[in-house]
Amino acid sequence: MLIAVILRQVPDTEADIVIHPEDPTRIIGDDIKWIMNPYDEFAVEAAVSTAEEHSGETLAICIGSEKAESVIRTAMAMGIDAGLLIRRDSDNNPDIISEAKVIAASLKEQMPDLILCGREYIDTGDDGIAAALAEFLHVPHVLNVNKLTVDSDQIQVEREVDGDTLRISMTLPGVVSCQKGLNEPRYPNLMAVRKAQKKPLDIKSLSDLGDDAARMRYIALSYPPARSAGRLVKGEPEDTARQAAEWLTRDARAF
Amino acid sequence: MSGILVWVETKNGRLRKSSLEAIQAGLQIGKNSEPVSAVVIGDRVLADHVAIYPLKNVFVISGDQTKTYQSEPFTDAFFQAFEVSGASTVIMGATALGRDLSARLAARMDAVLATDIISVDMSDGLSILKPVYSGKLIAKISLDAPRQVITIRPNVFDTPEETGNTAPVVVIEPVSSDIRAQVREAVTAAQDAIDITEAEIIVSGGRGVGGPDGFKLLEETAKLLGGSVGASRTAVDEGWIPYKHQVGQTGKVVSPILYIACGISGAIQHFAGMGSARFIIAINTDPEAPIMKKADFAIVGNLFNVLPALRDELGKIIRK
Repeated sequence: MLIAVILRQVPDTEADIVIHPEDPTRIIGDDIKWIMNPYDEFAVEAAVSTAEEHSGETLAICIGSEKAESVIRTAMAMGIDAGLLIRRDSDNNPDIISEAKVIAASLKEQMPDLILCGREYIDTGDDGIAAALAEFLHVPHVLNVNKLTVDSDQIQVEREVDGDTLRISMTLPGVVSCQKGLNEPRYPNLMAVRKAQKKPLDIKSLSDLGDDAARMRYIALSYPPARSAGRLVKGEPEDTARQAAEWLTRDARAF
Repeated sequence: MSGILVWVETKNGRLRKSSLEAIQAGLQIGKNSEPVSAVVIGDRVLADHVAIYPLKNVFVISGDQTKTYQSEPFTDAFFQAFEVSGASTVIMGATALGRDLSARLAARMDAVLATDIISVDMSDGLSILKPVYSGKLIAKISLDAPRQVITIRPNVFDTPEETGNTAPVVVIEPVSSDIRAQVREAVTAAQDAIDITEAEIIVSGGRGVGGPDGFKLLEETAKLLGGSVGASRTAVDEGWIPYKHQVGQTGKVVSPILYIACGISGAIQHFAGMGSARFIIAINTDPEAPIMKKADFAIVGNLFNVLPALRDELGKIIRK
């Protein structure tokens, strides 16, 4: 059984994101910490634990710049066997459908039985990679799974939709995106980190895989309108509550 | 060929508000020169409820495989309508199911996909605004492709006005789909609360709520105001409330009309998830908490005293 995970490198959630002063279409990337997209950790853990249980092999694929290799090495330290870095010069691309097409092309020679992604990329906010990849590979998908068990040729998963829980059976091969709650991602120990440096990593370029010209492009990045402090009140609960209600209806005209 | 096609999502026999907002977004992009049509999958009866809006056509596809949402038959059905309509742009709400359908459909259409957008700009071709880095920045992105799929953030666009006329309803016979991801069972949640991504009022709690018992007050308040309960990552990590309520960078991004932050300090990751709320009321014992400097109305006090009083006052307004 071959299990693939799709990874992305993103700025740390605590990073201050600053727009580049000379190029408003990108951020200053040099001064911030870059990490594995947090939801991808659940995908890596699911891939490694499933491979352990079913004696499978695992492959991590990441589209990114040179520095994105560190994300693949982290996944390898968590137990992933091999990696593929698809090189691109810029940090992120808003066209998730083209990315899915490139990844699908990279899997032509060795189609995995199961492909796992994180629920969403926290940089561009895109969550389309799993479903788009499934469509290009002509296989089924389920998004946002928080439970996953693998039988021989199918998997049982659960996902939440508007508060309801759906139990879904999906035949393999197929693609799943992983939600928080699916598992507890492992922390690699020092030995695993050292071993990860020696695992096989293949590097390809976007053009090897037939990437089209950019179909979406950033015109500009901007900061959202800053929220300034409003009114601050203290006193008896009844008084402060009445003031808040009056403000909402009279000044804010919220309702 | 041109035109705009909107997926009208239905839930429990009703149209979703975010789908009507998607029609409005379509009318904005079409600017009266491109026709906007709608697609209703599954619920034939509801087509008449959609036809009252300014649409060219309402396409209806219903069959045994589309009684409830499943990715493959819904993608097949929508793609049929897309081909019949001759449209080049597809719009839907960025709901859980809209996010599922839009990506698979965009791949099949070989379209670009712009998710969770908050504004459109038609001044020089089609470009959109969307929050990136979990709301820390806004990106203006041009869509230079012959086909686009767009999902819109709920509660941002208006709903369209009714026309007084009825758009023609066009019935399309569904093809038979290969269903390889099959929903075996749907366990319905006990309470009929609105998902926080679509709620107009969110009563949200953090560390100051103190435990699962504290969240009962928030739930009662939300229910009375017709809203939903949110939570900070701390409250979720403590196990006080399930993850589906989590607002923030590793939870959900919400855009309600009113966000009531109770006992939430307002870390950058939390603010990223709710900074676009139209109005924020914060209740906190600490006047120096970061949220108190970003709220439109900050109340210094114990939330267990202030929230019941606020609930009673707001209840009077909302009932009016």
